Amino acid sequence: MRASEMRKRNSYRVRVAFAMIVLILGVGTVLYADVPLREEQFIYSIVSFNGRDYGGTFVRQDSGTFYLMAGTDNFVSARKTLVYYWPITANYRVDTQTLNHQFDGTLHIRGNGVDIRLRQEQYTYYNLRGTYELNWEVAKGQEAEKVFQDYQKMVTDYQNGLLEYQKELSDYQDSMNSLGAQIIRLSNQGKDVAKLVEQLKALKQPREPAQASSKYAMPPTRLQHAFIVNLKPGLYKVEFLNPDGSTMEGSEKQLIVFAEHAANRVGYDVIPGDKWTRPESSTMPGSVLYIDGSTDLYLRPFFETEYNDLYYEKLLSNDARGNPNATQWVKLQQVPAARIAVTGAGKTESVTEEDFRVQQLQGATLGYQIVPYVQSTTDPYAKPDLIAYRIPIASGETVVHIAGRVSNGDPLPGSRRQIRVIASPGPETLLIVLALLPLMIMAIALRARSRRYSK
Amino acid sequence: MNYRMNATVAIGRHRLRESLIHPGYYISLTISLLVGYAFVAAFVRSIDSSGFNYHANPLYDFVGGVLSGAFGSTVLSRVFADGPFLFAMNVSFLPVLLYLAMTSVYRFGTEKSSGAIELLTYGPSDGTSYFLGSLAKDVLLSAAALLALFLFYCFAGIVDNIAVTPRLLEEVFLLFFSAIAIFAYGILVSSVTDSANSALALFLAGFVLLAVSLVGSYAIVGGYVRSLSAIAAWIVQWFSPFFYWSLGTRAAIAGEFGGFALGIIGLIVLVVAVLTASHFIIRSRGVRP
Repeated sequence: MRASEMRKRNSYRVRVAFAMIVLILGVGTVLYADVPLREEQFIYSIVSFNGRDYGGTFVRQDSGTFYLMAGTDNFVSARKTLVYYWPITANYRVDTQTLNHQFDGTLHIRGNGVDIRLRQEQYTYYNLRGTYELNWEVAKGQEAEKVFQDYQKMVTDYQNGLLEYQKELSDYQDSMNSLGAQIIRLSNQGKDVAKLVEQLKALKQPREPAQASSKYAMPPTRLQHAFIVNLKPGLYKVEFLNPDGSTMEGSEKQLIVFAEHAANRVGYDVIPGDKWTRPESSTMPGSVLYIDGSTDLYLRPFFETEYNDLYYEKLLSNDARGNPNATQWVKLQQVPAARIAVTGAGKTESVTEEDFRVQQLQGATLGYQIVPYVQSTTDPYAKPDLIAYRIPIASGETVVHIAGRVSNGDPLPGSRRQIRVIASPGPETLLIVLALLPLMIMAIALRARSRRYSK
Repeated sequence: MNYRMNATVAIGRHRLRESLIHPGYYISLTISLLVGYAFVAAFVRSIDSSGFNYHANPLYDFVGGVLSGAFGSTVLSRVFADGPFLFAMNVSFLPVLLYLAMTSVYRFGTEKSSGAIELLTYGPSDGTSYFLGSLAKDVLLSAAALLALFLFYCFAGIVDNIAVTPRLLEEVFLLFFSAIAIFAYGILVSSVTDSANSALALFLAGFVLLAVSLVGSYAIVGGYVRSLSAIAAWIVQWFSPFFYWSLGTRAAIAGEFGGFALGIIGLIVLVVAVLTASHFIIRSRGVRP
């Protein structure tokens, strides 16, 4: 009796132990899958100009090279942080919330005829509003502080102005209401209200203060410290020197500074009438665009610049991959106030930018049509769905040439394209017969040869 | 000098006549044209309202997948910027090129080991005039094949409304000079080997090595590599016809005439260098196996 009780108790213990092992292993597995391993590393944090704007990346310990654009101010800082691999997006990330220590020291850059030691500087960068909206400015040192303080003053002034405006607006509305009520009361009593009406007319609605950031397409960033690197194209060696002059372990990297292959060419966003949500791009100057001609095209010209594919991808993200022997066109910004000269069937017409509205088709047919936009009288907030240049692809038109022009009629470089309509395959039997022609010639040659031998 | 020229012309004419009454060249040219037709027909079927959609056709889905996977979408968009002809011309010329190069290499080896070349050298000919005659035949037949392909694409362009741009003509010239450089390498390997099989094996191995080296230089990479293999590949590229072809093609696509001319000049220099080396090897080794 006692032995069987012992056996039962032992069997119960084994089951509990087994259940606990399964539970621990299970929980362990889940924890292991959810929390990637964070490794403390020395990194270079990079804020670099990419032709359009400023973007950030970081150079982890295993990466031997980083990339910057020539002739632009780029901001490099040396930090200790936690680096981890994030499998969902398949890239490395930094956990700066847990550890983000910026080192004080010197950045030593040498190579390509240069040997410089940079100290960290205070900086801010901002984009001024203008026609092209690519007016990036960098302020350093004292100037950075002044720019940032000016901006903060502008914000404070705006906030104060806004408070004043709201007070004035409230006073104005009170005066309006009070005068309005008086005018109604007195006119009901049959009294003269001319003076009051004059007073009402003389009331001026207060003006809303201008936005603090109206001067900026992007206001100055908060003041930071970094090494400001602005170099000519070439290959450099970089190392971070501690305050005592020693080299920080793991800080030696290669730096590739590159320039554009071609600049200020024009590409097009190509929006077919039946797929307006999925625009394609035509970036190669002088290339040919083939379409089936089933719908009109809507184009949006943009300025573009050509860079080495690998260098540019690495500039955006140091972990990216790219092709070292190929180039890519980078879209910068839409061409303002342009015209497109469309040549087809012996005549040229100039197309300007228009507003369009996308209209859902009625009935069982799924789809929509793009129609010219007319400003709504009932909805003052209504906006066009599409602002583009409409290229009519008339039936029967097989080749259309397009070329961009600026507002004064001067041609836009690299904006020429051919549009060719391939509605359906041509007579393919002809091509097959042509492809088989050598076999026919062979048959004739062999026949002639055998005749000659038989003779 | 004059006797060598006469011998070259006579051998070349004889070899050309032989090739024209043999079915091999016609069959390889037909295969080339059919490959070209397949690419043109598939391209026409891949056009929709927004342009060339390579996913719309199985052939281009495969080609596009391979090109963008290995070299990136930038390369893919550049290759098809004008239409299908640039890519189709390069792929469709391969059967004729390989047929001409391989048959010449094999024949050189066979005739060398059978003593036929040695017999010729006792007459009014020498080893150099033998390989120059063979080269002349290959040059003429490859020019004819390129012309046939170019005319075929021009006709396809008219039939299907596909643009025939100057880039295609530039590509024809590049392929022509690249083919001569490959034939010259065929002669070189035939000069240094003793049998037809070893000559063919060495030629094919070299062809694949140089092609792989070119493909490798265009592959997508994750970093700036300066390994030993990269340096070796950098050295090898100067001896590779594919390098000058890619230099010229890249320049042609970008519309840079200087780069295109540089590619052609590079190929001509390479041909002269390889043929000169072959001449001296044959002179020192003789034409006996």
